[in-house]
This record gives sequence, C-alpha cells and structure tokens, in this order.
Amino acid sequence: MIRIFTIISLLFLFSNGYSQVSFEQNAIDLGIEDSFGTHILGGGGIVFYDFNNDGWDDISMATSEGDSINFYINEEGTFVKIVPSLVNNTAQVKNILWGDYDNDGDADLFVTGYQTGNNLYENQGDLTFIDVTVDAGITNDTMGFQGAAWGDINNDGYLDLYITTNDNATFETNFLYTNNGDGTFSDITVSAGVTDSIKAPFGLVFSDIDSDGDQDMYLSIDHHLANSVFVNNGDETFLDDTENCGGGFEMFSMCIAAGDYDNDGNEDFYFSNMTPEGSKLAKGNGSGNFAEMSEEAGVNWLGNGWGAAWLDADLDGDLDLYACGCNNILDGYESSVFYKNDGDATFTSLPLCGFENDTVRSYSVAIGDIDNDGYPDIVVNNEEGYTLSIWQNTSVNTNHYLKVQLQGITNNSDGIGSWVEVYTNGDMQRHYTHSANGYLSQNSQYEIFGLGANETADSVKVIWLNGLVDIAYNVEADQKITFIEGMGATGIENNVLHSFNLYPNPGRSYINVELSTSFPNIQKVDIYSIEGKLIKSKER
Amino acid sequence: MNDRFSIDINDVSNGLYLLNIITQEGMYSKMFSVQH
Repeated sequence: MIRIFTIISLLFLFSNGYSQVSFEQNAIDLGIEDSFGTHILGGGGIVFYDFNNDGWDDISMATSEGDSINFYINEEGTFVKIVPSLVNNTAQVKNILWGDYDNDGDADLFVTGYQTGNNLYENQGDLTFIDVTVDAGITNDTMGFQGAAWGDINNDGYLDLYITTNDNATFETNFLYTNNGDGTFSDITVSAGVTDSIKAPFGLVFSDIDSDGDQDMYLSIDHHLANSVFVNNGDETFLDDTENCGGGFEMFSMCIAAGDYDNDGNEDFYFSNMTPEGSKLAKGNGSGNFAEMSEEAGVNWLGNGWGAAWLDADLDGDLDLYACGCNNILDGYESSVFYKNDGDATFTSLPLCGFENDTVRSYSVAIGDIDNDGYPDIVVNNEEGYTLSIWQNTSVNTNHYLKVQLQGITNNSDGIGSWVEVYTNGDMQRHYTHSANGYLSQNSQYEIFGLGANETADSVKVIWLNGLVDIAYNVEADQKITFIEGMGATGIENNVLHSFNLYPNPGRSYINVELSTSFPNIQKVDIYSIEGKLIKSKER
Repeated sequence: MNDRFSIDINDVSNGLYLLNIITQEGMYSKMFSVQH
C-alpha cells in the first residue's frame, strides 16, 4: 500500500511542472540568527557577495543605528559571523556595496548611512579596511542617503559611483562621482545633469538600455513620482529621458530589479510598489524605450512590495522572479511571491514552493549560491524583530548550470557593465553585470546560467564594457569559469573559431600575429599598455 | 592558420601589453609582453 501511494505521489510530483521548484528557510541552521534592529524608512540592505574571493558567496547585512554591520564568511556552505565586524560602523546603514574601485584586485566597501553619512573603506588586501571617505572626496554629510551603485560611466576602466537620497518628504540632490583613478573622486552631479533633486529615489541600476556601449541609469522612485531614466551621452553628461522613454512609471517604487526575462537580449526591469496598485515590469527594447508588461506577463504583484530579484531557480534557461514586502497577510496580501517563468514571457505564481508559510515582513533581497550546487539561493533582510531569512534552493531536477566570473584588465577589474552571453542549441541567454541590483541589494559576482538538459554550452561570450570580446567554445556545464579580459576563460580548452596567436612572446623587435583560417576581416589593430593607454594603432 | 602579419615593437618599452584586433564581428584580444 505504501509503495502504491509512493508511486502515485511521484507520478503527481513529476506530472506537475511546477513541483521542481522548492525553497526552505534555513537561516538558523546555516549559522545566522541576527535580525535588523529598529528600522527607519525601509529597513536595510543585504549583499550576497564573495568578498574574500574564495569562491563561496558570503553575506553582508545592514543593521540599524547602534549595531555593527554584520559580515558572514561562507565556509563551504555554512556561515560564520566575523567578530568584531570588518569595519567600525554603527550607523543606520542602508546600502552595502562591494567593488574594486582602485583596481588593485580586492573588494573595497562602500556603505550609505541614513542621516549619518557615507563611508568608503579601502581593502588593504587582507580584509582590513581604512576609511578613505574624506580623502577620496565622497560626501559624508548627514542626509537621507539610501541606495548606491558602482558603474563606469566614462569607460575609463575605473568604477564611478552614484548615491541616492530619500528623506521621505524632503527632496534632496543625489550624487554622481567619477573616479579619478588615483584614489580620489570628482562630484559631477550638476554638470552631468543627474541631480534628480525633486524626486525620492531608493535604488538604481547601471545598464546599457540603448545598446550603445556605455552605462545609462534607471532609478526606482518613491512618492508616486516617475521612475527616472538617464541616458548616457558619452561625454560625462546624461539626457533625462524619463518622460519620453515609456518607462517613467509614476508609482511608489521601492526597488528596481534588472534582468532579461524574455531572453530577447535586452535588459528588463521589475519595479516593486509600496501601494496596493501593484508592481510594474518595464520591457526594454534595446533602443532605450520600454513597454509596461506587468499584467501581460503575470507579475503584477499586489500589496506593499519592497525587495525583488531575478533568478533561474530551476536552471531551465529563463529567469524567474522572487518578490517580498511588508504585507500583513490579514489584509489579504501575500508576504512574498515566487513567479515561475513559463518560457513564453509569461509567469505563473507558484503557490507551493516554500514561501506559502512566509509571514515575515521583508525589505531587501540578494541572490547567491550557498553551497556551490549551481542552484541560486535567496537571502532576505527583514523588518525589525525578524531573523534574516535564507531561502535555500532545494529544487530537485536534472538541469545543469554554468557560473561565470569576470576579471577586467583595461576595464574595471570587476567587469561591471559587461554582457555575458551563453549559447545552447541556438538559444542565447544574456546577462548584464551589475554592482547594485534590487532594493539596497547586491547579488553574487558569479553570474549563474541555467542550461536545462544541456551538458555543455556551445559558446560563452563576454562583451566587456569597452567593446572587447572574449569567447570560449564547448564549455562543459556544472562548473564556474573565469574570463580574464583578453585571455579568454581560464581552465577551458578553447576550441576557438576566430583565434589568433602572438609570437615570439615576449617580443623583442617585432610581434607576429597569426590568424585562424576563419578569422573575419580586420579593420584595426590596437596595442594598449596594462594601464589602458593606447600605444599603437594600425589600420588594415 | 592562413594569414600572418608583423607589428614593429622596437619603439615599445618593456612591459605587459594588450593587443586588440577589431573586426566587424567584434574585438579579439590577447596579452603579450615586450622584453628588449
């Protein structure tokens, strides 16, 4: 009888296409029992980023005033809190953001503080930090600082920084800093045209919305004001295209989550909404224009929404969506929701994948991989009194994955602002690399691609922010590969179609360039120094 | 391999360099070093 019941259960399980996605909240079992303290205006941020670069995604958790920032090292699948904290900061922390602003190969730390100023910490290479905020020229005034993102707006290979302010009803300027490459920054907010001071933004993402090779900005805006779209003019100025681009939705937007949900090669953007009218989905067309698709796609989540993130939870080759908020279930709204991508640009809300018993009021969300099994996991920073949530992906299927890490040389060392394209059986998935993504959140630097049943990717292509291209062919699934700019992927035997060799190397008086038979026609050959300076250029 | 050309690096000082080949399909790159 038991066997018959088991068979029937299994038949039901595998006949139900949605049953393969499941999550369990395992924070305490994984070693984290901390909670955010008394929150002011929207809780604090969360980061799922491998800050010690050991290949395991660590967690950084914002805390309220009086508490130190919590950092947790991932020790092969469980977390150990770093005590004392990596930095001496007991402010009301909003956004924690990792990024190698000085291109020295280690992760530096930027922290926004609500009415307590900002802090830029330079990593000394051993996870000890020096507060360089003042010397770097970054504002640490007492303003309502909220979100921040690293990007490279002038393609000079150094990370620039945008910081938002939102002090509820008091509108203030935001800040754009360009990185001078010598440890200092210049405030170009006004000359760049991005003060946006009559708005109340929370988060932002840098993205190339018009496919012209530079980084534009898209901001989530509170108080029923239009989400801002700034198009990079390529000369350290921006065009405010909010009114004309079709994406300036007027809403109480808390987060902006970027990802290509329909696999058309263009980034799309999900906006949570604090008011019950529902969230919005801006479908990008790659030319800088957007169409609102939340109802058509089926992700018009109702209630008090805050954090959200895209992830391919079942590794089937398309991005699913997790969203959470500060709903009271007695009001008839869900605490969180998981939308399964049906593969045709529409989604189905899964009622029974682990979140059905979630009653926690939540703010920020980040994506990483706790145990390096390739299945993306979710970490959530919640309202005061609630322990951090770690939603461990317990999905069971036979799908495969590929993780991709970038290391820039003439581009910023994090490879932020690159496109990573994975091709399988004629299909392409395309991820744009971000620092910040979501509500006060940062995801793992390891891009996770679901490959479905494919045991290899036909090719993996990286288009770096400055236009350089690296390609690896016939890449086996279920591993992490690292692309080093100009050198392809490490650890891969590249069956490169368009390859070339340089010899002798080192060169003394000349260098020979030998091309593969299929190499396309050459327009130009450039030689750059390791510092990014053009040394020679030869037209062909 | 069916095509080859040379680049004079007599006037390039010792160090590590990135050579970019720009085509209509994209840019292809390799690192090399100079040691006189």
